[in-house]
Amino acid sequence: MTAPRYTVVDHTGDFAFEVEAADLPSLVAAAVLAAADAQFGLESLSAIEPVEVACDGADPELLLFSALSEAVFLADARGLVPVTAEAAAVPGGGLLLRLGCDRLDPARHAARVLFKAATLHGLRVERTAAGVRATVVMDT
Amino acid sequence: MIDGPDVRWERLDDERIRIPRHGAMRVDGLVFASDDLVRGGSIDTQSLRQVANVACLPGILGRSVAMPDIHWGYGFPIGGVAAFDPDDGVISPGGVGYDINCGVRLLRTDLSVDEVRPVLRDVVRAMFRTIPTGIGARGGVVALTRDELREVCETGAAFAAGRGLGWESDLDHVEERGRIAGADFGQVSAKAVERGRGQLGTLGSGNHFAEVGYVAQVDDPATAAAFGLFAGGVTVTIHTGSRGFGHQVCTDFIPRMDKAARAAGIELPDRQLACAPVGSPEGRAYFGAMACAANFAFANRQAITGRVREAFEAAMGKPATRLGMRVVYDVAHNIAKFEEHSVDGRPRRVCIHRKGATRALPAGHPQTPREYAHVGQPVLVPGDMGRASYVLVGLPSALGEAFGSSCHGAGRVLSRSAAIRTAKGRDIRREMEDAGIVVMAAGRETIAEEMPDAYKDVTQVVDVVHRAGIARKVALIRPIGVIKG
Repeated sequence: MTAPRYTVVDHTGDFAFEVEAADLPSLVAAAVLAAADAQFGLESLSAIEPVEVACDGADPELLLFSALSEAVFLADARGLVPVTAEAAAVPGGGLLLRLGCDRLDPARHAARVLFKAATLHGLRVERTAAGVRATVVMDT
Repeated sequence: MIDGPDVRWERLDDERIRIPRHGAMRVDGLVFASDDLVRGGSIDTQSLRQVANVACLPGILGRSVAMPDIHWGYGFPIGGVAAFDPDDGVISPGGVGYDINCGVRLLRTDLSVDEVRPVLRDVVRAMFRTIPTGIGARGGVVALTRDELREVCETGAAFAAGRGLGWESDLDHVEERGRIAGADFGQVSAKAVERGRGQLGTLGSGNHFAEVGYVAQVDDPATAAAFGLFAGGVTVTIHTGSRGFGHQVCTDFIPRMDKAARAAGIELPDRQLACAPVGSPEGRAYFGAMACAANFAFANRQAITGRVREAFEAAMGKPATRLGMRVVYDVAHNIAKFEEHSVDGRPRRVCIHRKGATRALPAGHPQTPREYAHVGQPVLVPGDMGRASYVLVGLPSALGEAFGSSCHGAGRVLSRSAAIRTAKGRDIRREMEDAGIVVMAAGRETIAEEMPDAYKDVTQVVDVVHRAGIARKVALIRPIGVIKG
């Protein structure tokens, strides 16, 4: 999946965005890519390193929180930023996120904003006529 | 919980707003705020509702308090202070924040601003070179082994001081001597360890900074002298916290506490208020991990102190000891810990949460450093990078009204995108240079995002706590050199 549909929502303290997709796995993948795009711009990245991440959560909001938290961890601890993302439901619950990541290189990548954590602040995954939508606040 | 469109509040006097107990509130709310801040929109209904929501949590004692720099946070408001009964109350990651023990350290020097101006750019450049900034910044000290990280978590600032990045005497002027008891490294996840191992001695991003300044105004000469501050004297302020390590600890515990709150039947209007009884397995585990992150943050500011001293030594050609580069104080402003306070006239051990609030102890308090026992604990309140920061001193009313707490900073008024829009067509770095302030930043848009216009005027905030009598103005510090993430 590429080019996630998301909208930046003005937030005084941190960074918020709204993301939509056809279903929950697609929403999670889109949110992870939206976070990468907001920080580094997907156009500056190339998928060179495959990474698989297991996400769990008792409800859609916790699943989304888990996936975004994994993305923050990958960037901060390992310098890996997703450029492609696919999510699939795992039997028994949870999601498997398959990412194609680029390795952060200060010579090639400049951050527009840096996310330090995902939050549950006001997080709700809502059903819409077209699928599902969520507004996410990331701690900066 | 208070989830209606309006939260009820009344003005008590020019500096205080009371949110009377209503709905599910267990205690009143008390907000230190002037009419100027309310009318100017700096304090909004959402923030006041968060004060009320905190007042609904089990085991809250006294009142739910907020400082004049209050703004909308995750669950708890930023600027919030709440104390909980260790037996019947809760502990909440939302009451501490993601950046556990984000805090401020102030160094003083014997140098005058006129002595430093000619080498200022060298000093700032050396600081920028040796103190890594930005996300994922690594290598401030060296990559720590797991055992070394455990030692950092258990010993705090003493770890960095013992590695040549500080003086033993520094610890005398750090809250809790740079180490909170109760750290349990066994509660720290592998992910937190991985994020933390390379980040000791790094500044981070966002609103974190290291700033060279000078004392531009002395309001309380006797207290300023006790703190080693004099008009025209050069200072260094360090604002950072526990970096990715602390963020990961908070991230790890939010889902656990969310589950624990449900299990305990605690109704939450915002899942970021997730909490658990202090004495529950989840509560004890969180405290143990949080204390590790708090101690990491103390060590981080200590390590950066070592780098700052090296930068001055190189520029001034003298050892830091001969430049008088002593730590004035180091305060946490995102923390939960156990303290003794008077509640309803009786001394009680409480689990205090300060989220965007600074401890402020008066003269004579046993936790005030010996050298400051006759004046009180320094309260450090940074402003924005273009205007000023304040040094205050704690007063007895802080103990009586706010569990020994005061404000912590200015608080944003513009979102980052709004700041960038406001800065469009302007050269903020040039504006700062024209004002005599050298700025170096890692992020492409950091300087625009962190422009002075993006923040409240810290003077408005400080005036409230000064007039309310919880902390008194001692000195005003103006920036001349800033490094940011």
